[in-house]
Amino acid sequence: MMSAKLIKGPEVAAAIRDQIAVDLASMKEKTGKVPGLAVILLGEDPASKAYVGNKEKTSKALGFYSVVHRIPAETTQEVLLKMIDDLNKDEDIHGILVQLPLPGHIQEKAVIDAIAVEKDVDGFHPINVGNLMIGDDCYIPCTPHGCMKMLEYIGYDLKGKNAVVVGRSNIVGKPVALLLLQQHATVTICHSRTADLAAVCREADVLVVAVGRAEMVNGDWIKPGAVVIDVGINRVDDKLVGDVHFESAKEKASYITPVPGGVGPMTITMLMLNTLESFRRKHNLK
Amino acid sequence: MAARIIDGSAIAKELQQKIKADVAKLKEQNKTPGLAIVLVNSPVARTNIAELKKRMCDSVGIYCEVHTLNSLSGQANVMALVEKLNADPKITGINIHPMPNHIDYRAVVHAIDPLKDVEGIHPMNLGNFLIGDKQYIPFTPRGIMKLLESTGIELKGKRAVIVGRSQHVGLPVGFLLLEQHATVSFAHSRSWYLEQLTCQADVLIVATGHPEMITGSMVKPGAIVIDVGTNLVGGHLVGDVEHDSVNQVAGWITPVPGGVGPMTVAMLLNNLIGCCD
Repeated sequence: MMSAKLIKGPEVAAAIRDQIAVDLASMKEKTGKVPGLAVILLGEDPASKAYVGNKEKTSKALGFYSVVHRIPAETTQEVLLKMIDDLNKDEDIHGILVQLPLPGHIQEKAVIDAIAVEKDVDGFHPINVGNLMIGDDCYIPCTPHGCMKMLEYIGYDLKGKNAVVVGRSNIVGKPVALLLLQQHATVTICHSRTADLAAVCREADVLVVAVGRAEMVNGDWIKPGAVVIDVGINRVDDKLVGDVHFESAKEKASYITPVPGGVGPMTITMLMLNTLESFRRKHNLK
Repeated sequence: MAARIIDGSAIAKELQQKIKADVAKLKEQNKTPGLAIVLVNSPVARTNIAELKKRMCDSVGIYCEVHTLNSLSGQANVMALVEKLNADPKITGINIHPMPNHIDYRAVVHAIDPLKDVEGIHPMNLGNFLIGDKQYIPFTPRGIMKLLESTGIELKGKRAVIVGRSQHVGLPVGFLLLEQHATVSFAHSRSWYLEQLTCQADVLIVATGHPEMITGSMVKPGAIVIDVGTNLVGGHLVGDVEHDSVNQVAGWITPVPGGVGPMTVAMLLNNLIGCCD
């Protein structure tokens, strides 16, 4: 039996970063400036610290201007909003990211709404979400953007195809569905209440799974030749697994993203791409 | 057996009574809802619908102004009017009618104060709607949900198929159905296997503007069919659904006229009450 080809996140991400480096060099020559990314991290959560560390490292490696504000978990909302306001006005900063989740005393929505739309490189501000919905200029949230870049990397033409998205979260399921629809796929959104989920998945030419349940989708659910994008990252017995049962799925799919080494490594690169895009818009560059 | 009719006119009339009572209550608190309709005279302006809205406002006690700009008005004229209405305390909601091609409709929508966005189409409100903060909801989709509610059929776990992916109807109604825990498919003119998909729909919503494109053979027996289309063909109004053949297969169907159409104006006014709170 044929085994699926892998869509490797690090490989796709590296190709995009190479392009970012080329674009950055020419933008720097024209403006004498570089894109700036500011990250705010509250508290000491180990996972968040690791993410922020990676963002800082990637940012510097690409030659971006990088600022990380590491502030105590007890910081008040007022102080945090003031800090965002200062960054909104800072000419050297083109992207602002507040690492989520936030401590309980801070309203996440108030924080997201406070970020200037043109610097919201996470794509979580309601105006960006609204613009994504109507296909207007926006910053595409990093994980859905990464999924689309992986499809683009293998040269997949979505027009007319059946795409099925399992999971309806605000940060993955809904935006990825809108993006697939904009590429003229027919899009079905499924979730925990879907009757006969396996049957719906079997209709998919492209299957995107983002539910956070370890190995929920197995090979029987996959149409032969389908492209499978596995967004899940679940820790099972000290091993990372996706939402898709990789061993059985790879016998059916034509392409599949592994976990780890699939969608995960794409997101930071997408953040850099959005920050570069913000810089491009600010300076009216092509 | 013929499908049961979902009577939009009757449901809209009931809603109108409720709106009238709501307006009376608001007036007791010294609040009067005020609607401004903005249109630029052109073949797409739908002047008659503006007049219909005005009459309906009058009948329920809502203050209403219709601003008809002449056909030579440019972007700056429309923007200036919207700015003026944003600042006008009498106006609680602004309704922009379809604009001729020389006007950038999106720029006009962006200019509306999101708090007066009675149509729920400002990106800020659309974004909040998508992430589940539902203060402003596009009114046609909201009317469709009312029609579905009137059947008493539970949507949870049902297969809903939307044909047409417009920002005013197809997309928002899909996300409203998703919130009711339906499994939602968005199909459109480029969809392959359209018939295969529509045949699985327990709820089929058609909003494409293609007269009678959905026929009986494309419908699952017993399905609820909502026909959003109104097309003028040979002097008659027809929907996007071929009524006679679909009527034989579906369990429920909205007629054209008298289905979704009458609901839209009622839901617009209902949204306006929401803008007052």
